[in-house]
Amino acid sequence: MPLVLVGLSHHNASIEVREKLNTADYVLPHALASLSSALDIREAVILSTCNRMEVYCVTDSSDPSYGIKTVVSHLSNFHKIAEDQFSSHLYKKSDEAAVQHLLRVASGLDSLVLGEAQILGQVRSALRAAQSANSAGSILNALFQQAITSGKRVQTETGLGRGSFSIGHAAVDLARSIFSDISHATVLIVGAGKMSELTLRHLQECGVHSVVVANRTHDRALIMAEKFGGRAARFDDFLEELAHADIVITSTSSPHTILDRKMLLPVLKRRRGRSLFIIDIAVPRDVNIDVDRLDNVYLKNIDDLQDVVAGDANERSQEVEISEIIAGEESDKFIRWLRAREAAPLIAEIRSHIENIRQEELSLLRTQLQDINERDWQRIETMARSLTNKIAREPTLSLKHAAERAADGETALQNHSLYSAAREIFGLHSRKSLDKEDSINDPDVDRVTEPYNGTPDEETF
Amino acid sequence: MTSGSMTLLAFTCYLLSAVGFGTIIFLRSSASPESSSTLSFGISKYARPLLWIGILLQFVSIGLWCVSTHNSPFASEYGTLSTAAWMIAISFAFIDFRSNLPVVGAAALPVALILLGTGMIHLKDPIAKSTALGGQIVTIHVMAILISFGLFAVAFACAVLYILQNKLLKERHVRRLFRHIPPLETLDSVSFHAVSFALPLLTIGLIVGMVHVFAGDVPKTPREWFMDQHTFISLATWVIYIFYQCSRLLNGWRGVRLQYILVAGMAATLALFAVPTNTHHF
Repeated sequence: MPLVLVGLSHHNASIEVREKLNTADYVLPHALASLSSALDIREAVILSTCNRMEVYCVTDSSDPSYGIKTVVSHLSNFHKIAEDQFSSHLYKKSDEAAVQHLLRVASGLDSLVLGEAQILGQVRSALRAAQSANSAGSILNALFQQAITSGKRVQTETGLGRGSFSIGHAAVDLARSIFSDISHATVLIVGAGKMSELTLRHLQECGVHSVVVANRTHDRALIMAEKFGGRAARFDDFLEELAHADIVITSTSSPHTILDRKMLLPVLKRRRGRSLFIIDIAVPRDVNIDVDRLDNVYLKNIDDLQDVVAGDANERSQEVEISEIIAGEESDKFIRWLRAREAAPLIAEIRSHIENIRQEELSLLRTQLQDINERDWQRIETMARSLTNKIAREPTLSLKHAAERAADGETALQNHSLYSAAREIFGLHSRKSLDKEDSINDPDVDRVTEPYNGTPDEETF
Repeated sequence: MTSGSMTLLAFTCYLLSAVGFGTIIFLRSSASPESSSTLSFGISKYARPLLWIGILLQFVSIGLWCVSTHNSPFASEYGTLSTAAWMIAISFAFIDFRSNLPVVGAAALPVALILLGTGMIHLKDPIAKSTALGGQIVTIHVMAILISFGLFAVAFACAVLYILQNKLLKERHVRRLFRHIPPLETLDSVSFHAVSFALPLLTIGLIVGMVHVFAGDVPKTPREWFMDQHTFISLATWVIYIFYQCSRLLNGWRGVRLQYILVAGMAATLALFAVPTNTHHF
């Protein structure tokens, strides 16, 4: 059951490509349902943010290339784009590489804004959406939980996110290159989304007082305006508000642009050359790129802010190093857990075999000890259970460790000498193998398949 | 020490100072911020003292020249250009002192260097013997115009930085260079204020010159004066700056296009020193 990842991000795909494959929240259930119905796909989670679009899948096929092919084909069909328009921008990873990638993403190490905390919420939302769509099974659930753990650790144990640059920082930095004193600037928010709220919060921390919020749902505009001590405007009036604004933050979920050169020209005449700084953080973009050709208009989209924030990566290299170690540790834990899962069917078989012996022996003893009272019989049963548990404990641990240690290229535990030895010792070769899914339902086996939680192995059993 | 050698020293000081102010923009934006910022700090921290030393040296140099030749500095092309450069340096130093805008020096001081360098070429030129040049009215005329030139040069430097900053901000991927250039609004405001002080001075200078011509204290007729290219360019310069000022004050215009007017104004100002003239000595 290989784990595959197919995705693209701000590192290798421009916003023009990313916006074509962006999966908005309202289409996510449909996208997940469509993906899950594909022949090879057993589990699926889609992580779609303004900076990345990644599909994580667990496939039935042992060859990851089949799963990757299915996902690419799904992307092409679902977004109605020819594969050649985006395939060159895709990264395709499987198994450990996919795990490591997600953990780096959740830790903010792969973000446009290094160490930003928002990605953690987006990873959590992606998992929640997949759980709602019943497309996340035990592996992807565990993987995303591990990713969230890694992200939390990076946030609490390192200074990567503290005092770091964010889109808000980048916006303020650029605004300070345009306006002498941004506290006197009027900020117009078009689209009362979470991103614009974060950006606005940072602008307010830097002294911005005058805020106007325009949103399609006027009630949301009112709520946001009240929250930031600003004024709400009707969405239809936002062009009028543009004539008075200095900084504009657009973050609507509109699939098309809401502002272009033609619309802005009459507004600019009224502004008489006053600078207008537009920050378009929406994906797909809200503002047509032709606006940037106008004098005294400075349009920046999410990609353009990349270089503004990139410089700080060097200044926080130590924090990056620590964060990489944390992500690596968490990644190793998950991989060990994933490998240990391979031992689960055999462990279940051994336990079942021992349990059968226990039951048989107890039945035999019951017929021989007719006059034994119930209290003494309970003691015998307890002793028998304890005995079988102790017998099963060492082989179980050994098999689990062997699975964890299974080297690359020998990932199948079946190739391990211990595996065949265990089958031989317990006489399982002649027995019919248990169904894998049944074994996972075994409460003892569940312990093996639980994500590693940092407790010593001995206590797990 | 002669006036010429003092001027050479002042030139060197201005040059090093301009380089120092320039490093603030460029070195701090290079790939290795830590090492480059230390280096740029090291260089730039000497830029201001060097500027003030240059101003002082030039003051002494102009004084020495006046004492040794018993003439007003405006009696020679060297003296006039040297004073023009000195005014630029003083204007920039004053604005830097008030608004802490060292980066403006990277664009303003090269103008001073061009004028001073040209002046040094004419160091050995014969001194004009006209008695009119020694009069107070000519001193007021030339000084008012040269002070206005100094301020125009600062406005020009701000405009150049504005255009550069505008270009950087317009680029798809913003480079870190922009962080060390003052905000567009500040540059626009400083250039506007510089022109606001310079334009009345230029107007006074031109009016005093016209009064001098109409008073008949000059050898040529008023018609000859007004037909002269030098006078024509002076008036054109005045019109350019009047247009700039009216656009700002009456129409409330701002922005990048207005900065090109300041660049055009500076070009016209420098052309004054380059065009041949029948009425002025240089």
